[in-house]
Amino acid sequence: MKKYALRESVQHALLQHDKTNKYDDRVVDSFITMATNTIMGQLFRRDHSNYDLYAKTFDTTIEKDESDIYYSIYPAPIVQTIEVRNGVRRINTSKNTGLEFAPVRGDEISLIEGLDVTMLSDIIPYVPERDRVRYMGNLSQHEGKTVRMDLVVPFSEYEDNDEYYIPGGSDLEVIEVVFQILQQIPLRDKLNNERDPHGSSN
Amino acid sequence: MEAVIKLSDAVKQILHETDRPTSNFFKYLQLASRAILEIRTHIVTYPKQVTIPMDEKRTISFPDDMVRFISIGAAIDGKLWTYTYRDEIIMEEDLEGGAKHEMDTYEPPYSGAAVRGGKNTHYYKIDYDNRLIYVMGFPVQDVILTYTSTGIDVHDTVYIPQEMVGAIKAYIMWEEIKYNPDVADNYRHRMEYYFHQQRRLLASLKQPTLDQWADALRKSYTRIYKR
Repeated sequence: MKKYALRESVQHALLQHDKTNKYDDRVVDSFITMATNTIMGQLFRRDHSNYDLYAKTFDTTIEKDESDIYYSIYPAPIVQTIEVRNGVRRINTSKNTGLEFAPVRGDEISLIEGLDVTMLSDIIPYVPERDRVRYMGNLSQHEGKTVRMDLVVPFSEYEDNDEYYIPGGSDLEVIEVVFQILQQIPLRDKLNNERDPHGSSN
Repeated sequence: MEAVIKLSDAVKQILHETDRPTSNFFKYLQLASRAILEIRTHIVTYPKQVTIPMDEKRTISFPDDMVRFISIGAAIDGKLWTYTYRDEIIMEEDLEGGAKHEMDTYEPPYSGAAVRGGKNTHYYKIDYDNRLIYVMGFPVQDVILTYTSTGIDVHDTVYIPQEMVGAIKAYIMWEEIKYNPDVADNYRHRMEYYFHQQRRLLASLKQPTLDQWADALRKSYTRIYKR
């Protein structure tokens, strides 16, 4: 389903709850984001491979900070998952440069640094941090190169015409969860004051 | 299928076969290298031989990948002539006042009637703490060191035989849960059994071939005159 179509479906369903339909698109998007994240978290707790359907491909570059740590900035926000790699499904190089990457935990970096295990393969360990992906080792030869990341991004990050896959069999659940969220919030708070400066229609 | 595989590719293969996430790659690589050490030391101990040039100090450092000493010797007439272990050798650096070894006189290697041992021209002693072998004897010549290797050379791409992958996989699966108190004992024992099963399969590869058995049998025959 296209992103805009899903949003419109939810808005249409919301008419039962609020006949004035004053919800801003961005508000609805954020509710759907919450709902889809919740559902996916529950559904894919055991089988993480299903997250691949929600990954979008982005290009970013390898950079170096003042502490000589190599990193890439996230091109888009990611969804947190219970895996080590989090929302970074995979990293590879856009051109075939032979670079391979594998995720590790942050504290694992200090454990394996200097051990034989880092010399036994050319695979580069990476850690998804809060605002960047940190690479282990000296990537001076690859600084400035483009890497391709498959990121699980939240619903709100999709373009209106992007295809969005609702987790199988959970279409109605998305709407139910959105409703549950809305029922806990007083109606006035759901208005977008920027769009409706008076906010008094309810 | 190639008979050998890169260690890192074997780990990828194991991740794939067991449906484990790629975040396990480095942990599994670490365990795989330990598995190879275990297998090479205790199950299939293919000896590794290296020729080491000998200098006047007659001291050889253990190779980085040496876990177990097998023998030291020299090539004489196209055959390996191994030296004899002698515990009373004093390491040269321990000698005071430049004392000389009395053994430094040349006697050709020999064997024959009334000779015991038959290889008492060169001796050696091992200093395990400092990973050194001291060789005594004359003349000074290159030595051939035979040892059990870890099978892991971090300075080069590590290749392993395909038949070892099953045992490495079983070892990793067992090690992964071995010290986890939350794992049921029966599962832990099953994993241990799988490893030992693979271990037996590997060990079976060390059996002599049919041809070697036949040779051993033929060696016992004695030709006699035709009557």
